[in-house]
Parts: sequence; structure tokens; C-alpha cells
Amino acid sequence: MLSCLTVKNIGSMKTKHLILIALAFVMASCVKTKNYYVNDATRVWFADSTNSHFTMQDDNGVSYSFQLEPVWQNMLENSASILFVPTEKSLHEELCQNGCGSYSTSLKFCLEIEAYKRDDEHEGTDLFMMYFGESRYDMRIDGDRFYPRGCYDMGYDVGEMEFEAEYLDRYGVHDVEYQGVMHLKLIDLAYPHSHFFPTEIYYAKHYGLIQCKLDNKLTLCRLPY
Amino acid sequence: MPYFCSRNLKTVSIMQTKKQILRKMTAPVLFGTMLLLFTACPRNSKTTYVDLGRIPEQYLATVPYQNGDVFRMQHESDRLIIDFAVSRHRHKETGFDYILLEKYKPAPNYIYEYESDITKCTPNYPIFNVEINFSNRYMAFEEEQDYAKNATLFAVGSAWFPFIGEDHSDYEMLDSLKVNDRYYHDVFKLKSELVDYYEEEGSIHAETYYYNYEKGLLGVIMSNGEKYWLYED
Repeated sequence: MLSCLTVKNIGSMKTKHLILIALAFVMASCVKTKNYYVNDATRVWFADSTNSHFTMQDDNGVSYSFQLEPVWQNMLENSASILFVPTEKSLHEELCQNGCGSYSTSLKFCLEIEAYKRDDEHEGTDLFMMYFGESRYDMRIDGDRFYPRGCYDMGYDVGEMEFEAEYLDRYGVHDVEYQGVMHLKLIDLAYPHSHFFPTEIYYAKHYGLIQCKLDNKLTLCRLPY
Repeated sequence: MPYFCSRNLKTVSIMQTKKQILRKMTAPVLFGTMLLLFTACPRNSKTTYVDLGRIPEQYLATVPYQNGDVFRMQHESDRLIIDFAVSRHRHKETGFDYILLEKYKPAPNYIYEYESDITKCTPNYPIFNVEINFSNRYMAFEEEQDYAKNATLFAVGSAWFPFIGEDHSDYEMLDSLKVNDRYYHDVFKLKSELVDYYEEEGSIHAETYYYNYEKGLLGVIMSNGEKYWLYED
């Protein structure tokens, strides 16, 4: 008799679980996917296709050519759940422009929007990542407003270094005046890094990299042709 | 006993029958699996090593650099002299080689031993490095001279060059070349034959180099016309 009741209880338990699972499936299918895109005001920082091939020259007259690939887009999926039941699902946009210079110098510029805002202060901002040579500069960006997060040395594991970022209405390099320029400057210079680590970067809207200063005081400037 | 209980008891007995069938099936299934595993093992697992010998000295003598050497190149602007630190190592390597295996040794258990001589010249400035690699991986096989060429590498930055002794249309021999008021004799002038896919038209890469057996690299001309010449005090 006892065994009969146990079997019956197990049966009813299974039914409850099945109902719960079915409910979870129904709720999951009800969750709508939200799409988040990088702000239009921020996209202007990518180099236009007409400016994707350029040459930089250093103080010693050594030239470096750079080639940028077209911007590629990726939609990253995010989902939140409570007790395995999905409550929110979103796709957030990631845009990247890869480049390569002569002598194996790499250059990469990425923008990404977070699906979930961390706080009100940074609401509406995009994540900005610039890789140049051994350096990586991270910050939040909202059009012309910058909120630096940290600079990293990809060659040495020294942790996060502080840098400052400012917006310049115009900046001239080799008799060419660029409108809308981002100026990144490393503050923590005491960390051990390569003599060729970029400590200052000038980056123009629609053009990309226009000037940079290395740790050994060498300056690379974009040539006008 | 209520009716639903007797029905449940019947169900349990069917389950027990299923378990018994499963128990009886376990042994033959295990035996079959073991049989499959045994047939998958190779019948002859003996490995034969084929020693391809050493790189001929005549090849090695074409590179004058020794491990620890430093040579200097001057940029045409005269403002910059770059040191190139040389590392050179010769060592044995072993490996399967599908090209050789297919033609000469169809059995899968041959491992070839060959020699590699690698010279790397690293600059103290962010410009091109120079790498010269020799390997006798295919030299022993006369029919495979095309592969023998591939086993020799002369690279300046991302540009690959044919090396001396190879039949190439861009190959040019100069009796002498004047570099920084010095004359160098029996100079080879070679043009790049392959540039990696990033280096498209308009990019700056090494295009021509000058070389002799006595001093090695004498000069490099880039695709934008910039020149680097050997600098000796």
C-alpha cells in the first residue's frame, strides 16, 4: 500500500515539474529581444573608407604605412534570468575597425554599447577601446565627451594606468587642420614599458590616427597624402 | 486491494522485465565494444626515424653573421643609425612530412630528422627585422628542389626574397657597390617576390636588398624609396 502511494506521489510531482517547465518555456517565449546600437554621434570616430590608407613619418624621417579594414559589426547577445527563467534578452552592437602598419604595428579601434547601464552618470555612453602598438586605451565616450577608464600595456602586465582625454575642436599636423580631435595622454609614466609605447595619441573624426608620441619622445605625424 | 494499485503493480513488473533484458544485453555489448577498440589499433606501431643529415657548409657560409654579432644600418636621412642584434642557432628538428610521406614512404610511421639554421637580426628601432632560415628538409631529395627553395627563407620585414643561388629573373650581380665611402665587392641585388596580404599596393615594405657573402646585408631600399645602408665605423 505504501509503495503504491509513493508511486502516486512521484507521478504527481512529475506533473508539477512538467507544468513548471512548460510555464518557463511560455515565459521564455514571451521575453522580447531589445536591440541597442552605438550612438550615431560616436560613429564619426571611425576612419572613412577614403582615409583608410595613410602614412606616418617620425622625427628621423622613417615612414610607416597603415591600412585600415572596413568597419565590421557584431551583435553580442545578453540575457538575464531568475531561477533559469529568462527575464530579459538583448543584443548590443559592437563595431570594430582593424588596421595594420608596416613593420607589424597593429591598430584597432572599437566601439561597443552596453545592454545594461551601470549607473545614471554613464547612461547613453558607448565603450571605446583603442589598440595601438603595445597600448590599449579604454574609456566611455558620448560624442565629444570622454570618461577615461584605464590604459593597459599589452607587453608588460603592469595593470591599469591612468590617462586623460580631451576634445580639441581643431588640431594641425603637417599643414593639415583636422576638425574634431581626440587627445589621449598617459599620466602614469612611471610604469616600466617599452621605449616605443604610445604615451600621447591624437585621433581625428573621419580620419583616425593623425599623430602620436612615444615614450622615447619620438613623434609620428600623419603625412598629408 | 483497490483497482489502481493492482494496475501499478503490473507496471512495476514490466519495468523489472526491462531491467533483466538490459542485464543480459550488457555482456555482448561490452564484448562488441572491446572488439571494435582492438581493430582500431595499428597493426605495426614501430616508428622509423630517417636522418636527413646536415645542411651543407656551402649554404651556411653564405651567411656571415654569427650569434651575438651586431651590425649597423643608417637611414638615408643621416639622423638615424640602427643596431641589429644577431642571434643564430642550428638545431635538429623532427616531424612527419606529408609531402615526403606520400612520395617516398607510404607507411605512416616514418619520422624525418632534419637540420635548421636560423639567423634573426632584431633592430633596436621599430623597423624591419631580418631573418634567414636554412633547412635541409628537402635538400636530400633531388626531385624536390622546388620544396628545397621553400625551405630557405630570406625575409626583410614582411617581404620575402629569393636567396642567392636560386634561379630568379630579378637576380642581379654587381662587381662592386659604394656604401658610405666604402667599396664592397661581388654584390647581389635581389627584389622581393612575396609580400604578405596586409601589404597591399601603396604600402611601405622592403623592395630591394644588396648582399654579399663577406658582410651580409649591405643595403635595403623600401617601396617608397627610403634607403638604409650598412654603417661601419
